[in-house]
Amino acid sequence: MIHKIKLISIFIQTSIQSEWQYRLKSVVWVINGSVTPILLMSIWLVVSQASKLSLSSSQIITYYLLSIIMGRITQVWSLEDVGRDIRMGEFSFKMVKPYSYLLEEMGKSIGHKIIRLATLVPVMGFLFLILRSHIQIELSLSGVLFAVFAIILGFLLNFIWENFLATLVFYLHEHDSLQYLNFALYDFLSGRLIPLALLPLFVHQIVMFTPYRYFISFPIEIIQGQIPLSGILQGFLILTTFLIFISLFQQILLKNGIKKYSSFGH
Amino acid sequence: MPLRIRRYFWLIIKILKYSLIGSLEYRFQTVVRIVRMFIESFTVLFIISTFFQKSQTVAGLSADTVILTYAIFNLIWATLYFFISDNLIDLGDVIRKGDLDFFLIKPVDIQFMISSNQMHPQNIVRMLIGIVIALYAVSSAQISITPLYFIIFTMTAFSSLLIGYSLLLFISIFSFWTFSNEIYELANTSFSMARYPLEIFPKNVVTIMTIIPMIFISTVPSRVLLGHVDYLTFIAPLIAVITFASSRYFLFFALKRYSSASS
Repeated sequence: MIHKIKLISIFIQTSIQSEWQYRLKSVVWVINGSVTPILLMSIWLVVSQASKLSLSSSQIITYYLLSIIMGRITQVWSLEDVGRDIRMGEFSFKMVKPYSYLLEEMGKSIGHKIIRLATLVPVMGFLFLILRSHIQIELSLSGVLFAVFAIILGFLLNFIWENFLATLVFYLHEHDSLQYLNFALYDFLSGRLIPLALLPLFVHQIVMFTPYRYFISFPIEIIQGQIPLSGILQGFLILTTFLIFISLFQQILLKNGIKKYSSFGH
Repeated sequence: MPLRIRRYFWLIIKILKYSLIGSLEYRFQTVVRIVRMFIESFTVLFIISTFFQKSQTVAGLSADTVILTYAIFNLIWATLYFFISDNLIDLGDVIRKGDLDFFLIKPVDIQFMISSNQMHPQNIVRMLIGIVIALYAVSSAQISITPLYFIIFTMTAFSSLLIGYSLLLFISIFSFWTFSNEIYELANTSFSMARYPLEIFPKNVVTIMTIIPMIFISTVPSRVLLGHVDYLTFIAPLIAVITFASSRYFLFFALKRYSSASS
């Protein structure tokens, strides 16, 4: 276990050094991820003037600002990287290494994130400063702990989910299509485009049982005090169940996928 | 001149043919892209319906107006991506790998090669989705479109296409200096504002979107279909010509400063 942690820390360091070379990319990444939420936030504020919604204007503003942060914290790039490696035959390099490729992916994700989130801080600081009178957060100590736990587990779930989807590339020989589909579903079901609380009830109930909710919406619902303790515990139970089963499926698909895998020239 | 136009017409047909063959080669990817178009359209229409679940109008706009604007945006953007595919977003990679040199030595206009070396025929599905949604919005709002308004709409739609293409080209040209596509992706995300009627945004945003001529992409053409013709309608072709000429000038400016990646 200590050996694995040491490995991950080495990958984090190399990833930070590599990501530091493309600092502009990090700035653009932050701004790019902020445009759509801010756009939708401004539309919802106009809508809230026309009709009474289940969320107040302050809650809407807070939700979208937090969604920018959550989306960036839980984002991973495994489907793109691992999927491309499998399709291009470069997964062979990962197979010959004396450690699981997941450790390297984890290190890369965390390393990328450290640099990119450092760029996020001044941008979010600026937004929070200009909108501070509209921000509404109700957080107790237990709420903070639950929120931190939800964010960490949300990141882990997204990581394992994307690696699970990446193993499908062994069978489908496509990774662009999976990325497109995943991104389309992520946009709608995670709460990135529209707060789940504003969805019709039956849609909200369906979304509760998809993994996407836990990438963005779930931590925000805890921070905004939108769900009671029973809802939080139910959420963690569903999240943990997803983590366990998706990890299992990922390992099974990986094991069988490697048997089918062939790489030309490597 | 007619000979040149014919030549480029047949070139487009050939590129389209090979792009179609390529799409059929990767059938699963093609099917997933089409499914994604439906998911995206459904998502946006769903979002629009939630805007209006408790009110008939938002910022003085009805649901049909907003849906019509989205349908026009879909139609314009799908037509654009039918012809330019991901070529402009990939320009950074093309420059970085030195493939631009192969474009430069071809006896074809470089802007054409950069923009249309591959096409995305699947976007015809997105065009059809846009047309169906537009027809629904027009009939729901009980608008009758006269031939005159349809001609004016066609003029503004062509202007929108040219403006949209010119803006995307302008942004992609920065790849000559950055060798990456992040700025293009950022611009592309920003253009998604044009999905909604710009009247929904604050006045200063509308002013900015008129100066960067995004208001012409879908808001102006959809206003024409709704029977509102104003000065923006008639300056749209002029703006289209200016943006096209500016982006072409900027392209050649960048090419003069381009040094080949190979020996």
